[in-house]
Amino acid sequence: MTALASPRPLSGFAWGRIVLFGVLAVCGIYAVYALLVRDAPRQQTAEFPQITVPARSGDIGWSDAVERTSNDISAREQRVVANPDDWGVLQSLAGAYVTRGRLTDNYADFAEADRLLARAFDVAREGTGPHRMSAAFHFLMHRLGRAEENIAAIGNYVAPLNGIDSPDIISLRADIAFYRGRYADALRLYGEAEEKNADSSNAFRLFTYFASVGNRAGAARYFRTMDAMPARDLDRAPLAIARGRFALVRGEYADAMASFRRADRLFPGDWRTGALIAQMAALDGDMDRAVAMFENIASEHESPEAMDALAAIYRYRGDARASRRWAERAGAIWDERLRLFPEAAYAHALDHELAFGDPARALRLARANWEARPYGAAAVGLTWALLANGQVEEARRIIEAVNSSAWESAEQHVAAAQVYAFLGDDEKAEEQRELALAINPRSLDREASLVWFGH
Amino acid sequence: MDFRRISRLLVAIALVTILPFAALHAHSTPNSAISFDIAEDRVDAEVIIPANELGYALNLRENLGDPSVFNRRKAALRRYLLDRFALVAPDGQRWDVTDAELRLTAIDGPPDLVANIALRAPEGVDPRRFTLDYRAVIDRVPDHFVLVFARSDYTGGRLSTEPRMLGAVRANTGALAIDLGPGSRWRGFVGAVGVGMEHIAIGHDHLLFLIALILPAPLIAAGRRWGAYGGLRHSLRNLLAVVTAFTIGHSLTLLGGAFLGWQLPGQPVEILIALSILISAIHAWQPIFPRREALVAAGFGLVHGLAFATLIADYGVESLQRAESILGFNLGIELVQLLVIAALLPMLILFARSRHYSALRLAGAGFAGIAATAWLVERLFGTANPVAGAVDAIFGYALWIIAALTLLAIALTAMERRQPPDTPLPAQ
Repeated sequence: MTALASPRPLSGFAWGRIVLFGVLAVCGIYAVYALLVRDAPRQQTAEFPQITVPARSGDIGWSDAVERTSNDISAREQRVVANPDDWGVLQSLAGAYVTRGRLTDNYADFAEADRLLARAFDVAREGTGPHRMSAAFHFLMHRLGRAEENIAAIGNYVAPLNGIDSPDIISLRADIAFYRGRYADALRLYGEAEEKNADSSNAFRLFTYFASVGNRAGAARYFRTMDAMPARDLDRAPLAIARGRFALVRGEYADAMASFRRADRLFPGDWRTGALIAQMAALDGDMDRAVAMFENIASEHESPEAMDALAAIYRYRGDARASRRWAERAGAIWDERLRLFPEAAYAHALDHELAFGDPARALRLARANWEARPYGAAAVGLTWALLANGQVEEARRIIEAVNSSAWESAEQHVAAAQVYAFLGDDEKAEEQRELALAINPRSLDREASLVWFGH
Repeated sequence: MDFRRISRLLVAIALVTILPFAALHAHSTPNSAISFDIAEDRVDAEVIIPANELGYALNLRENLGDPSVFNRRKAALRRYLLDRFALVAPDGQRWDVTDAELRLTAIDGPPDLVANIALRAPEGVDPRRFTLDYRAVIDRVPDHFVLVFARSDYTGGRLSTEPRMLGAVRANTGALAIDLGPGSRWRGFVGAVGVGMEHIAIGHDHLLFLIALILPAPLIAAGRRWGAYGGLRHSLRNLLAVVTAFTIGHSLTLLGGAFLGWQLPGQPVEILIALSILISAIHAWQPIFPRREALVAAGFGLVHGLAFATLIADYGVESLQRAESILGFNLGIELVQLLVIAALLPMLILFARSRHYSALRLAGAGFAGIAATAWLVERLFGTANPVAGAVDAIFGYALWIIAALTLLAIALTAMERRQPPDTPLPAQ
């Protein structure tokens, strides 16, 4: 044993060393923390620049656009009267009806466009006809098979100019591949189209593609590309809406609201943007304002989505009778839409049936929707419907296929968590809940039941 | 319509239709939850139903989340719920409902109806196998579902504050068959040992307190400085004294907390624990209570025991099983403490015999002091800080660090042995 050191007080130098040691130790521990512990900072939608709104914006509002399109329809109807057997004139009128239908969401306009296109084909000579317009229309109506038939007909054109290899048709083929769940093919075709014509529509499609497969960097890249392109206010509004939706599905509600407000200033009076703003008000807890806005939209535009949103808010507030009243009104409109354009209405009507209707009918709709467009969102809808009908094993098979595909959304993990809960697999359910929360920290909130606008 | 115009229209159509990434959360309706606390012959169920969903199922106009509406309808709601809630034994006998209390609560968001229902298994029936027959809300709201959890299950050997999901119920899934597996008091006891081991193993603050206290155990204090190595017997005696005193201290308050209701709010206890580590760290740096380590270990052990008692209380163990669970829990704690001491001992003794021990002691004391300060700040202000996170991360590598230090100590000892015999040992 060694001799004991004699006790003596610590010198100033010794205290200095202690302090220095402490500082170094804190730095060392922080370095360890930075290397081992700290999560990558949660990315915000801020990496997507907010859409700039000029001081004088929104020269053309929604009402002006509807009025102009209605005038356009009247003018083209005169031309049809004068040239009843000219397929080009009929196609032109059909296009005007589609444009107005897109603005108003009035299925009667789509029905008229459908009728006019059919007439145009009747009068067209063999090898000619409104295939391009028809392909776009059927795609819009979620009739992928009919759209493909029209594209194939374009491929058989004698004159190859603006044929199947034109960028817009390649993009449409990519869209179809995407909705058929063939994501790799879709990406390849989007790339092909971009090589031929790197315009804003391709950038928008690629932004959407990357947003859907959870590739944030890719989505941000194409968002910035679109943002840098010159465009009219009218055309920048969808960009602001897309940005808002991107933020919405990530639970960044304030950011989403800011984007929707910008869209509203760029294209004022569009009730669909108004519905998104009403929805954000509801998510923010301002139920009275949301109800007032939705009631206005529901009564002025007969929007079944707005009615369903109202039914959800009343349910959330515990007013069952008001909820059922609005749900019944929405149900009647969905039935009519299912009669007119079933493929286009399946997904919306499915949401309605799942929340307020009959589970067996919901499952029929979900299967039909899946058959029409077998992509990620339809598969998730089918999972919910299967769960609602107690068919848990099939729901597991479907959602596991989604999880192993490129599709990435918080909702698929919420659905998967519920599937595993019904199977009693606590560990997997928890894992899926965590995945959902990683994408959208609000995805398990009770208020999530108030999100109706997002298609 | 010319080609360009059609193309523009096509693009415009795409812009509005190809936006599939937005999620449809309308499907995510709020669900109910049932949690079971399993005892030897009875089950306590806690049923949580979102008040708005219940109102929707009952087709009400008024909001059940309003306390006056709830109070007015309370008796009817109780009847409604008990008509739709039953546990059924495998032979078809229904369990007796011995008590049912309803209340309205809003923890995070809109209010919930919470029902605490006590049920007793029929005579001679295995209380660990039953069927949950539940129809409240789901019989009228098809998209509503109920998650079912087992919370505490002592005889199943599960003591946890984390509920275990048993399954889920929906309108068309039918009743949920629940088999909790074999159960016995021995399983419960073993489970409690496991919880004790787990708690001390992941309770870095308890371990760090102990480590800081035993760091200077091999040394002899000389006034205001730590002196030389006091020999193996001195070291072992000090270690034994510290560990025993800590055990006595925390066992006393653990027993008091569990049986006599000695309780302090969690935050002050946690702050005191951080403070105990800071004081031990300072003492390891420079002696402030030499030869009174055991006394201090016992004193702060009392504080650490209060934290253990809170944990045991959270498990909701019945009073009859509490003694067994405390015994098991304490045993688990001691086992891990002994393992930690056993793992540290060779390294401590070898280092203490070398001239490098003061560096190790100061590094250890510094680490403990920084960790304690970080925890203190975290617990005082209720916000996480990166230093505390780093300390926890470092504990994840504790075994590797101990192994590396032990190897280093062996190497240093071997090197010092090779030194010429006349080389004097430097004063510590």
